[in-house]
Amino acid sequence: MRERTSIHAITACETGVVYAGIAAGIGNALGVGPPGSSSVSNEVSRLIFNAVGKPTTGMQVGAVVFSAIRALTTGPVAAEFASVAGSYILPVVGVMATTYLVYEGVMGYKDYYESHIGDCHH
Amino acid sequence: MNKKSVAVIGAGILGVSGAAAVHRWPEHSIPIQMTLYSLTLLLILLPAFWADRHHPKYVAAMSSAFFAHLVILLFIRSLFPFKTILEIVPVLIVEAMILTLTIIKVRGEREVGASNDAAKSHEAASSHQKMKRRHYRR
Repeated sequence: MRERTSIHAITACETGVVYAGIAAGIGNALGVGPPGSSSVSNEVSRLIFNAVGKPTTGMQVGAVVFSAIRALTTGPVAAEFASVAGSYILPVVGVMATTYLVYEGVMGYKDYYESHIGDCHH
Repeated sequence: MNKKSVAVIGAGILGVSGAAAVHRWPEHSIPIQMTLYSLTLLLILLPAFWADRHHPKYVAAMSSAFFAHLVILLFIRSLFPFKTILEIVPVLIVEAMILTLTIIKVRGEREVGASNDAAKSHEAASSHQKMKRRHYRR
């Protein structure tokens, strides 16, 4: 009876480690740290604000955006640009980012599982 | 296999190998991630403009994109090492668009018949049909 209880406890512990490992894997892929640490979006928004917030940089960014829009409004350039963006930029970036995320998630899970599964058998 | 499929399969391999390298050597994550970023751009631009390789301004266009990439990399160096790839994806898309526009602008107009593979194959098919018709007439 005691042995059965012990086996149940180990199974429950392992299941808990698996679920926590999945959460750790997702957190690892998304770059989410422990509570209280600065989030990724905050850092990115701060970086963009710092860069564009300066008047000279803001003007430069504005000029680049304006010239890009002006270049896009002409016919043949717009067609070719749209073709490259749709056929190459979005698929390549999407597939690369997805495979990178999946690998990081799986590795985060594996690392967590291997470092915590031993605790269930003590 | 067409160029788009090659680029997409290459992107998958690049993503896995980049993540594996960062996982294996975390102390070198900055150069690895910068290389991954640059290789992704190369994987976009090289197949996209491969058909223009005989264009007289092809080298100038690619060189200008390369220098533009170096300048942009200098501006965004504080983003590396990124915690997650999602942080860099919008920057990557915007830079790819800027470099595409740069290449199109520097290269100028496309050479007629140099890049349109579909048009080429259509032309070949129609000439084959014409030859067949001539053969039957005889």
